[in-house]
Amino acid sequence: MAEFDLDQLCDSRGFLIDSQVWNAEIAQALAAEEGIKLTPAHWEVLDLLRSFYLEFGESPANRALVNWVKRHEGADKGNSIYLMHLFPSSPARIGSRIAGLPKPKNCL
Amino acid sequence: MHNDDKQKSMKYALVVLAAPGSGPGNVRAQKFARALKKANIVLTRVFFYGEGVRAASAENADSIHKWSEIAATQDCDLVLCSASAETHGVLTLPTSFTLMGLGALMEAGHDCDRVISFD
Amino acid sequence: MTAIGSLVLTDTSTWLIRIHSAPYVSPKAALGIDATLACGAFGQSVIFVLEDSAIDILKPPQEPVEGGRNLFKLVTSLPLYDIHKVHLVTDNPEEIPATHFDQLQVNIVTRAGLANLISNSQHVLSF
Repeated sequence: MAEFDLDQLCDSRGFLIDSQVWNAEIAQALAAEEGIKLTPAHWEVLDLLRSFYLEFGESPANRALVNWVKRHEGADKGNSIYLMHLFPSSPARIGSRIAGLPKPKNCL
Repeated sequence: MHNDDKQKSMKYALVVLAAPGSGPGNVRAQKFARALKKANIVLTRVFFYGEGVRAASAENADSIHKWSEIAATQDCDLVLCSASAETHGVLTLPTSFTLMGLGALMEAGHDCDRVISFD
Repeated sequence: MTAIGSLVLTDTSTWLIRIHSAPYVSPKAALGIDATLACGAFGQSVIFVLEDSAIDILKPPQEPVEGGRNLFKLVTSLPLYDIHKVHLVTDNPEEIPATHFDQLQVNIVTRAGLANLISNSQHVLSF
């Protein structure tokens, strides 16, 4: 049994209120809510989302996430088809949520 | 761009950053909106951003009235930036206004010839 | 063509975004940066201009920022939004911070040059 209550940790949009409390178990629970089972490929992108947030202070929009992944892992992974496959519909929004980051500003 | 097509009117969208009562920006935007009609220019959308969202807050009845009139006579959308509305506590909306993200501003730019701002 | 959520923008407009408000004293500069990032996120062509006291955005803030928004950091993220140039308009070029930005070119323009940039832009937003 998980020792945390996701509802208490998240804001009304389902994003973690405090990104510092994030850990692997919370990530897995958030991913499960999105219907995603985390693989090493997911974790690689989650780490890049966390490093983006550390570097720039905010969560990325999809375009910035694609370019950030491309900068660090090359074009094979830094493209929207690959990222959409891992985090369907909106890699930046779903990925940021699972990575424990605030909701990206520029999504609809 | 349809500038060379004389059959079609130019289309404008406005961004309003000024709150009513804090400088002339909000009223200037209203005057400009009405002037567009006289010039046969179509106004597609007014996007209220930052403090501009106060144009729709309950204590600014005059602003709500004037913008609603512009929307009715010129058939344009009045859109409040949802993040700004949250920041400035504009929680209940008059019927002529809607809440959308910054994507609505991008969409306005895509659908018209000019977007200009009033601060 | 850029698709984000349900919104598809089928072509590109040129947006000139000029920020003249000093950072951190009012929210205006931050609103301008948000609009700039949105344009980039939606694949629009952006001419990003900092004028006069807004040029201070190019200096890292000395103290932690109220509300946590570090505009300097956000400017360093512009290349990831496919914005690779920042235009500066000032009467005091000696006050421009000597920061080097990775993949972001700093370009000084005269006021006449700014007028030229504006006349070549479809949409113009001032903050």
